[in-house]
Amino acid sequence: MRSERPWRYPLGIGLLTISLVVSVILLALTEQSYQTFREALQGIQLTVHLTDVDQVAPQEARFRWTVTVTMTTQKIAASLELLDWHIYSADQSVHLGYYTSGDVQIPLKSVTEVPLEAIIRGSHFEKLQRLQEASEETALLFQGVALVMFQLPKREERKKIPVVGVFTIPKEGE
Amino acid sequence: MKFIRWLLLALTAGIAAGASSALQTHELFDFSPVPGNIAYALVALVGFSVGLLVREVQEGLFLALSITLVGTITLFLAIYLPNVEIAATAPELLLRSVWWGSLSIFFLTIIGIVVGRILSGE
Repeated sequence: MRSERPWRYPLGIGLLTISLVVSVILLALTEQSYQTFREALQGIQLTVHLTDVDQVAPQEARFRWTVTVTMTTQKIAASLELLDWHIYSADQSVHLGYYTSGDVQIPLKSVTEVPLEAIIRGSHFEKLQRLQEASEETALLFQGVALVMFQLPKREERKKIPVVGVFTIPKEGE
Repeated sequence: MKFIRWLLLALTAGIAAGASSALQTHELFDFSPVPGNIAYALVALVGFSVGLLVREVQEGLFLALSITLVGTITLFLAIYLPNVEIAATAPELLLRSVWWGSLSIFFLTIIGIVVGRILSGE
């Protein structure tokens, strides 16, 4: 039976060799892509610092921050969306409001600076005033969430990363 | 000579089947450049190739078991090595992938061997 079909053995060896080469190459590419994603995820850093505080109206204060996103690897396309952030007193006893920048997606480079702005008004402004009156320098806590979207070969992977920063503002009128 | 032939076939086919099967695991699927069906088709192709090379049914079955063993080791290493810290905290996640992967290697190899033998006129 076997001698009647001499093509069987070379075809089997050929197909097996092709399968081995293709599968090993595909696995190597997949592992490389996975490793790149893990490096990108581990190498992402978010820092926030206050750039400006203005009193824009008698009962309104405008805060401006810059969120700096640093990515150690640029091999994987990623974008960022700052979902929302809260302002508290440094000891988290006083909540000064919840703010959001909407659905703005920012493509990430090795260093990306994202400007943020919030206007504190109404009861939150009054709480801020009381905090400022209580001490020479008021320490506030910025607590936010950034949604980082990585473009994988098959889909988009979304990871929520906390953004936390403490900053001080001088006493009102100084 | 027979042993060396069996060893070579088990190793080459097992590594190919394990590497293909790893492409459709939960851990690596999203990072694979090919769809999951291609990964399964590659495992079946390995079985088909072996089906063209075996002489008897018993030899085919023995090779399928050997390929599953080598394939499972390859699959385990492919998903364990990049996930050592996950394996330390949640080994059941990796073991589930290895279990399903080895089952798919075994059955797809058997199907491939049967198809290979039928198409080659045995």
